[in-house]
Amino acid sequence: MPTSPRANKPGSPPEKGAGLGSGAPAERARGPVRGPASIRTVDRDRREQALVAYLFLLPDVVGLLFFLALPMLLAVVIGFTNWNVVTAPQFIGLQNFIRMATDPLFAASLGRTLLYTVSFVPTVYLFSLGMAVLLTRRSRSNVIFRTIYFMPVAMSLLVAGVTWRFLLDPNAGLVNMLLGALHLPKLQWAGSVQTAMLSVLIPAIWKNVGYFMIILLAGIQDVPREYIEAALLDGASPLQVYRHVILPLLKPVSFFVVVILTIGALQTFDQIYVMTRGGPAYATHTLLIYIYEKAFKEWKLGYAAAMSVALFALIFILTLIQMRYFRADERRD
Amino acid sequence: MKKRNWFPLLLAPLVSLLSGLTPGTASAADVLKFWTFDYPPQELKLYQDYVDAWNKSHDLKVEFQRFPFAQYYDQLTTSLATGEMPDVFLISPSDWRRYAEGGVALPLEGYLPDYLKTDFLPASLQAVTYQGHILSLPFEMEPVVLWYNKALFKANGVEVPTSWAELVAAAKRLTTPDRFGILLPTVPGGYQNFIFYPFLWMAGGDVMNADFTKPAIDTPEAARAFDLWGTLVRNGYAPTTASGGDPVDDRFPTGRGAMFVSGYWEWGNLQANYPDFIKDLGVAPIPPPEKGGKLITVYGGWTVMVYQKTPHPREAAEFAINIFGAKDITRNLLWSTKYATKLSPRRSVIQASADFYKQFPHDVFANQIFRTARAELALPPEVAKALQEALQDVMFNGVSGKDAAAACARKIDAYLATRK
Amino acid sequence: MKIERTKKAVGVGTWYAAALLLALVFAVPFLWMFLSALKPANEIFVNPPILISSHYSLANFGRVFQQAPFGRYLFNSFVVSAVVTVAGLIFHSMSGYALARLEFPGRNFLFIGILSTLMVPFYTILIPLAVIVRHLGWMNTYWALIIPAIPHAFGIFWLRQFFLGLPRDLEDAARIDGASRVGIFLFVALPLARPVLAALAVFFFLANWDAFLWPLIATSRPEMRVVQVGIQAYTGEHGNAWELIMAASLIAILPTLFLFFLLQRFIVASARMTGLKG
Repeated sequence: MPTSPRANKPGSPPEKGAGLGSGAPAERARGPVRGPASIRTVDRDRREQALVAYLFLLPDVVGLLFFLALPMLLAVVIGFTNWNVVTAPQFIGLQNFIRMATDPLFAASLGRTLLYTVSFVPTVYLFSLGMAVLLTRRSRSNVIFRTIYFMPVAMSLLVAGVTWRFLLDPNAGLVNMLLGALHLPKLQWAGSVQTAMLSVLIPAIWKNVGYFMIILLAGIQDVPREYIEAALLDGASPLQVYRHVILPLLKPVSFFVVVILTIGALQTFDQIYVMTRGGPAYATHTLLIYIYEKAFKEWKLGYAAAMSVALFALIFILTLIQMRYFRADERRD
Repeated sequence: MKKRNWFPLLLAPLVSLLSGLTPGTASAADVLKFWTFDYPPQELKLYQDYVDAWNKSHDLKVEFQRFPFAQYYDQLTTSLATGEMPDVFLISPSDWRRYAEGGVALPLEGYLPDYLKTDFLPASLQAVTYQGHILSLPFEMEPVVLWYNKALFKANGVEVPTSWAELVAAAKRLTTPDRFGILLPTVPGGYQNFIFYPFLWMAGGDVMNADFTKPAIDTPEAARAFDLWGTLVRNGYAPTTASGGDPVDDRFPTGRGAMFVSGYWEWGNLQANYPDFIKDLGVAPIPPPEKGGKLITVYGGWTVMVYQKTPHPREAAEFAINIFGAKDITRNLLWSTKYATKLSPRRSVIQASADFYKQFPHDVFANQIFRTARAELALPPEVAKALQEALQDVMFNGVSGKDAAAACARKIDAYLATRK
Repeated sequence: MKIERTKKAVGVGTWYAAALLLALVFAVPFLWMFLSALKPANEIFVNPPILISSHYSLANFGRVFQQAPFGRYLFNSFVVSAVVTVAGLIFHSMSGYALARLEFPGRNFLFIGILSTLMVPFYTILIPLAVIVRHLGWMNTYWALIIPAIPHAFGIFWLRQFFLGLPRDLEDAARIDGASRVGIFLFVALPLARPVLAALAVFFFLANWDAFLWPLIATSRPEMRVVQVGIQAYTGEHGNAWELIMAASLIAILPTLFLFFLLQRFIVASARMTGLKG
């Protein structure tokens, strides 16, 4: 049954972009009918498409405008003020942004956030992809495995945080006991500035792979496991299998996963805050912890909003880059 | 061309929303809103009963709402921003100052009945006074002490430390691979600062001068206090991570921590969860740097504040004052000696529970600790943060007490400069 | 041939071993939570963990329901999660389809605009959103919990990505048969999207079931509380009541796990049902 995945897609493959799908409108109406009569059809079709599209988008767009875009706009406005909750906001121009440029804690928190992102995104992507690939087949054992891998996703942050703090206790924690039994050096985990980031990364990865495994599972249906196994047995390296078998078919969903993971990592907050409050000595102090503390602990809402705008800009640019990357790679078949 | 039409459409709601960003009146509906955080059932019922009794006898009803402790302040901040502020709410010293400076609190001195003015311990009122106004009312005091494990002390031949040298020696002696000599808070934040104050004060240091206009922390005395914590953590006598939660630490009653710097509340935790441990429990003042030095400790405790813009100041003040300031002290007695163990800032309450304060460990708190206790500093958040950074640097980055104190002072100066 | 079969058997064996080991890693924290929910407070943080205890009981669960109207919290969360999930699935599949398969002016702009709403941290828009919802007079109502939670770019984005990958022939064939755009969406595209919709149903339910910050801010009346706020209520001034947090969390986790268990066959079964694999 499994044939070459590329051969799976006769006719028009999804060549029009995992990124900015920018198919020429005329192409859409490319049908068997040609000639003068079809011009009117094309026109009507185009109008119909646009009408249906706008109607389809209306509820979500109105909702997003009102409950997300408008608050965002307000936040941007606040970013140009010195609002402190108790007195009316005054416009102070670019002062918040100028301050940001010279704030060492901002730079340090941003750096730490990037470090976290660079470690988090590929790890979760590869883990969840591997798990999805291995768990595609319908079988009773896979139902169990999938459920177990998904369980952390459903666990509340508060409980996940305290559980991992307990497991990663530097003195008597289970993980260090295990390391000791294997004659490996025990780690200080959250008790040292060197390993603190690791001690928040591990729980975050643990909690997220199940989620992205599901996303990839839902998208992986066209990549049969048998085919991957066959390729591996034929001597293809896992990297080759990934590049030539999995990725081409998973491009749209991979793009989605990577973008969502990146956004999530750059905005990471709850899990770390529950576990370490950004400590010890700022070792896990991410940008969002800084934003949160500025806004809610120090009431510097203007400065916090300005930092959020900067973070937004960063995420926006990164997403555009990812968009380009995924689209560029797509034109392979 | 079309796009331009969007602007007024967009701006109109924006402007009206921005105008909403200035805090408005407390609540539109004609009720008094009273906010606390979530207490355990008994304490919650005490508040609820009081609210019910009030609602029976007053036309202006009170709506009692509470929020998870962990997010209580986020909730207050958001409410300030949206104009949903409650008329009466609880506030702790760690956030008190910015509420005071922000003009959020209604001065209460004009509403205080005479019997109450003389019943309050002067120092407890002093701690909630800002520019001559009483801005909130204290109702509990929880001092910090050195709890210790008598059995472990005996087994290791350790005496109760009376100086810092002895404290370090005892901690060292009591530390094993499975046990810490002493438990100190590790998580950065207000609670860690709070536990540090007694050490800072007894060394002769302080964070700021009396009127909060200058840093007072760049001194050898403060450096010494920082170094003590650094020594304890860096040598492994004190832990680097929390277990469970900071204010209560299960390592102490389970023999994995021999000494524990914590507050009066620990008693409640031990009674409820570790009754078998109490026979081994010892309590002592935190030692001063030198033998025979002056003993000082800190006490914390929440206070009741009334929103400055409440449409019903008289009723709100009356409601707030009578929670724990009524002539009838039944509620205070329940609060201080039955549901929890907290000292009361009212003389009459302490006097009325003389028998209670003859029992262990309450006798130690009432007779020995109480008179040495100072109110928790109500620092501006920026200053609290500077102190927090200094502590973390000393404990985890190997920074010397001297450098940490100097850096802390610089940050306080920088903050003060932005206020001018 | 024989070598190949042995190779394959070894491969299957290693895969099972790896899956089991990973499952163990994933299950240990969960096991600890489960046991903690059954224990008195003083046994939870004992290290190494107490596995055999004479104090196991269901008492914590009883206390969860006694100390607070936890049943009411469950009900509130269920109403909110169910409504948002259903509405979200409908609206987002429409939007996702339009962005992926229909041509119209402003498509890319709209897509990037929608995507960009994911890029602002929720803490940043929390206060502005609260101001808006307050102006609408929705504070302390189900409206405040439900309506702002429905529009969300995550589902739109995912469904768009999914619809982009659909082969065009299916659509074209339906066009020739005279199906309308709406008809193609309803009867061709949506059935194919079943795995994504099933997964999204789990995710939406989960996200709203776990929602905490917004419900906290939007409601102050005890009877409007949702489950996660109810769990957080066991955090305290002097430490948290972990035994109750564990028990309440365990109760709270069950509906989502059950839903996942129920829906996962749709998530993985699609290939066979649609015969797309050819």
